[in-house]
Amino acid sequence: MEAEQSQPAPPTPAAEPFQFTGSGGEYFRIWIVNIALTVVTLGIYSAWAKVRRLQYFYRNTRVAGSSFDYHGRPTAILKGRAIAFGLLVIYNLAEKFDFRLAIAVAIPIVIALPWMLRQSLRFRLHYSSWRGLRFAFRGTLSSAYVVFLLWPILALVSLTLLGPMWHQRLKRYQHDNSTFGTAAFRFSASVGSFYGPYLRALLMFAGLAVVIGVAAATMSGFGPGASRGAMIAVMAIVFGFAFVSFSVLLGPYLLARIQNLVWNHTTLGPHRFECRLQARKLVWILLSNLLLVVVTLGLFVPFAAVRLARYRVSCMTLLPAASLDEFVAAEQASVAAVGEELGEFLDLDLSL
Amino acid sequence: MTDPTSARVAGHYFDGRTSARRAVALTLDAFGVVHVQGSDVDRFEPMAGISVSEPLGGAPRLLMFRDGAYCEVPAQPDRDAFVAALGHSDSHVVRAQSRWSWVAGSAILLLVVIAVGYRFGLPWLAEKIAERIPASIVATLSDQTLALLDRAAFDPSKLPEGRRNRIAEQFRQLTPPGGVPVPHEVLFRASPEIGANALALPSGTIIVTDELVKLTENDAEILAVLTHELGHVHERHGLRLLVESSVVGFVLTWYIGDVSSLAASVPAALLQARFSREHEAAADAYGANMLKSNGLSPALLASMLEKLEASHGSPGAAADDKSINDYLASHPATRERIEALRKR
Repeated sequence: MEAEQSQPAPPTPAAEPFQFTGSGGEYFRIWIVNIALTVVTLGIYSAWAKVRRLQYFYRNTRVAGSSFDYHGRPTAILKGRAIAFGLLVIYNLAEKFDFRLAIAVAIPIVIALPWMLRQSLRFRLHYSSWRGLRFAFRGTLSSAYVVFLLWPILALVSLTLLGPMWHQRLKRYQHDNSTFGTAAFRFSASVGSFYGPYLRALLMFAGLAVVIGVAAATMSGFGPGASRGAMIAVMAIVFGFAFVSFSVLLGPYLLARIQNLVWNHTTLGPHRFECRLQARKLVWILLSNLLLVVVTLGLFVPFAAVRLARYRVSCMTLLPAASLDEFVAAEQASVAAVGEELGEFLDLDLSL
Repeated sequence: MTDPTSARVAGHYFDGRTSARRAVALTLDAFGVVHVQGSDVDRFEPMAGISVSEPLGGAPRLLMFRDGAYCEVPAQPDRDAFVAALGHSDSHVVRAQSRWSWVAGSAILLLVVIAVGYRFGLPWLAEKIAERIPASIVATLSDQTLALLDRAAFDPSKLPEGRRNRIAEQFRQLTPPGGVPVPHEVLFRASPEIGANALALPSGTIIVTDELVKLTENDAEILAVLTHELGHVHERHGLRLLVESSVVGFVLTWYIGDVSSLAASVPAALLQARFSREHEAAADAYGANMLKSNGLSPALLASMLEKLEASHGSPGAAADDKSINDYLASHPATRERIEALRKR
């Protein structure tokens, strides 16, 4: 059926939408058994749980009729977790007892962080595959230090003015250095294009803040001669609003816009991608997930994770320029899991 | 059970070297050899060399060969029979996941472990850990905190030195409950920002603000507050809360953090509040005991709690400015504490 491939490929192969085939009910059962075993084994089982969780999501993600797969080994992950956990316990203890000691512990961790983040990127990709071929990350260590240490400092010094540029450099580092078999990913989104979503988010935030601030002030009788209590109330409402709106509105908005920007400017060999996340839908999914998780005391977590994955995956399309049968495997090295696990403990999400 | 020779499933074959996807049929013969056959695939593999991925809901199952090649077998009627014929049996965990009784059992076990752990395990663990923290570390920790507070919130006390010494000396004369001495030191600080308050550091340093002293009618009321603070020192509440809140925060972030760190922070605050309420009640009980055994009334502590509460509902606020004051005044925890002390 797909045998005559030595002949020229057809002019435009059909677009291949990504699909997610998992369901909340299925994942709930995996999740609850995983958690119970993790608790009973005082956390040791969590490494096996992680592999099963990722395999569930990878193998239920399909494109062009084939699913992805995850090959991380639980024992390697457990080792990585133990080291990362030890480091964090030491840091937390140091921080609580003496800030000088905390700094002494934190400095080596911060200096090693770019190395660890690069390890994390390598670990994730090296143990991911599609159609039996592994992905890989080949970014250099020196670039990791530029992207994960120099740029954050520049963004901070510039009072976040350079933040979007840092984000572009980060995505470029990730996507330009990723490979699938012997084929390379390429990233072409410009620095300018990263400023657009950030500016719009800032304007939305400013607009909402003014509206809420005025409303709060009016309701509490804020004005000349207002009491200190009323002023504190207004401040509390405005700060609470800033925090909530950032996490439930602007965060998802930026996630959607940046994700689209990044994937619409990423190519794999001659093939392109298309990503059509809608900010409004993503906000709705994340907000309703949050409420349901709180109302169900966390039991909705697996349903929420599946719901989010289904939407994110369904917005991705692969636009092949030729047959997808001709990728070739590359040499693989093994990667330690410490960086990946420390990143997870520190809640560093590099997927944004 | 299907006869092995007739077991047959459809799938796709990947050789592990290229991304070519080849439709194949898999059959198992009587000698335990799997035949993978497609238009340009013809492979024989003894079933001992094949490992089978576990079932993950609707995901395809993978039959993996030793050289990195594999077959993706989507859900189909004969798949379970074929996998069984290969001699593969699912692990206990997989079987647990597929049975609702096990799923329900896991959920119940989890709830019990969490409830017992939160209610009894964590306070017990926190106490054990707090006991084992060396005194030198406790002292460093407390000195750091005091230095920080002195920079950020405290000014030197403006009370006459004689007055300060008299209060500290009177407190030293009181017998602690059970006659067990608790090493402590009473310090005074002015703090317009914090207002009337007292706090205890784990090392035994008790800090009283000038604003609190001004609130009292007699020194016995100050002593009442000091007995409560000494209770915190004796029970090592500071260190215990440190352990308790760290563990609650860590567990919740792990449990819910995947979805939202905001969702994790709200219940963390609520769950930690329980521990600090328990500590306040324990310190009240200690204080009441100490007051009684020294011939003083526990009602002194109750009236001080009332005064403190009133002083924090911003003084001189107009009657129409109710929102915040009402909340503080009706704060149930404090009311309960006051009533509990009155009954002693």
